[in-house]
Amino acid sequence: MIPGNQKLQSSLRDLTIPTQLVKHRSTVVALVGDRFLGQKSVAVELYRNEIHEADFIEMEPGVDGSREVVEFSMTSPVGSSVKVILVDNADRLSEPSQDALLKLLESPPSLLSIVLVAYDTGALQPALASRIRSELRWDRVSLDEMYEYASSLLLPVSDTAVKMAMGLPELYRIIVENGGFDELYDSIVSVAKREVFIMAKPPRVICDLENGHNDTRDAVIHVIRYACKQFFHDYSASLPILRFCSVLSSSTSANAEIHWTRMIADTRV
Amino acid sequence: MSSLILISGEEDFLSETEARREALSSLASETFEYNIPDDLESYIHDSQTQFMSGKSRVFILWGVKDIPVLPESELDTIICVAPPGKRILQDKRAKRSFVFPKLKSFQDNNDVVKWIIREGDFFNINLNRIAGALFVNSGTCLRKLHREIEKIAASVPPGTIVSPDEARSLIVFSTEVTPRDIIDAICDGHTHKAIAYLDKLQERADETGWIIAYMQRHVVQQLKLRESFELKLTGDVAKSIGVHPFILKKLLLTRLDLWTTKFLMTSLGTLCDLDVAHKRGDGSARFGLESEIIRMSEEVNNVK
Repeated sequence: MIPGNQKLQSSLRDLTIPTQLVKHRSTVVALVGDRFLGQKSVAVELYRNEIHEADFIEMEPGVDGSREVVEFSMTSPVGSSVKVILVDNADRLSEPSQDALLKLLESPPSLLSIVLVAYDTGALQPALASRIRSELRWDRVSLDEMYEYASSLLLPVSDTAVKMAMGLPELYRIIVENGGFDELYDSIVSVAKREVFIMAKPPRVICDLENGHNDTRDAVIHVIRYACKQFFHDYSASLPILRFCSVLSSSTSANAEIHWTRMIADTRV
Repeated sequence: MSSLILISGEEDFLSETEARREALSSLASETFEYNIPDDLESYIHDSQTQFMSGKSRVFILWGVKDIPVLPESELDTIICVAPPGKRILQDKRAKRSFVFPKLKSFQDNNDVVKWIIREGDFFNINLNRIAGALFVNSGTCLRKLHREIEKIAASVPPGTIVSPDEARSLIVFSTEVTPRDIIDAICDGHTHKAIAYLDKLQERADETGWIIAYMQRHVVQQLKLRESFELKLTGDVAKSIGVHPFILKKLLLTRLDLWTTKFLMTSLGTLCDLDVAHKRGDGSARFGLESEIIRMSEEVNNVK
């Protein structure tokens, strides 16, 4: 159970699953806010419990995924009052993929709810953004709620991880499940203090990073930025670190180990 | 007394070609070939007997270190070819003696390219426009080059000035150029050669990312090695910088003084920026890479 934003969780249910069957009802809802707040998990849990499995689909990324959901939308619900399409990472969909969705979003068939999860609404095409009818903006959760969530997981509660997660429950889960983020944090602090040598092996999470956008990569970027906050006044240390974050975020196929070495070299210059 | 022709030198293809040309020009009715010392007894047996008809013969002896017994017949020709190496066959009885040293491929005086042009003349085709490309493709292996020239000569009319387009469709890309060749050329300070390799790698597909990755790895290894010396690390340096001891000894240590630490750091920064630009689809990364190759290579020349 994802903590916080309880009102928004109820609103999502009210907006997308009608209690009374109203003819020609359709809606497009966007769940916006920071990554790792658990918007997608909440939506998936809700629809898996309340919508027949034949009436719920999570869109695969890519143009083929867009075409699949367009086909899915052409039939009436089988076992529920509405059909639901969940589009995760809508802001990271390619332009052709967003184009393929435009027509569907413009005039969705009746009894269809489309839920877009977008962490950066600025990255959505204006045409696509204009078709969103309701926007639910999620906030970061409080420290108490974070500890409550941490206790609900079957893992020891980590104070360091709670601090690093900065009110993002799913980030906390990734940090404690994957491990290695403490090492990353310590390494970044050492890099900023110029205590790391070029020949030192990068932290495990950097060496194990997979290409493409994924949760671990985003978690690594969050943790590095969190560690870097301590050194924001030292430009010669913080700039190379933030540049490294930028490379991780924008060039997901770049070799993270080489760019890590470059970051260390730059802090030394 | 039979005629004796001696051929020696390091360029085995030229030695072989000359031996066969001599055999042809002798107008002998029969040519016999022997590998010395394995076929020495057969050669002695055959050379001591004579044709009843009195026709001339040629005996080509491969891998000769010492001149064997010569037949008495004046009609016979003995061609002794030394094994490839610096040993030169000498004998007072020799009618002709040839020595073929290894062709040099210096940047400003490339004997291989000159040889390619001469071979073209021999086949009655003009290879001036593609001689450089042929050299880059097949390297200094004259046997491969000869095969390529033969193929081109068979496909174009006599007297043709062969264009790069005509050659490209015929040449077998037998020597696979990799980014390592570019790095070797940079480390030798051969800027033109490095650029020629870059062009060759890029001509069929955009390999910018592959080349950048190779160069990044080399620069990082050099940086790590320099740091290990600055820190005066004891123990297994190869292990501490993550390379095989052979690579450390043969490739990294010999190139340790080519660039300063500061230069390597700047270079790593540039290569990383080019990497990101390339991955974002920026076409200028290709030109940036060329300029970085030139910069690194010229720095090697300055140090040397």
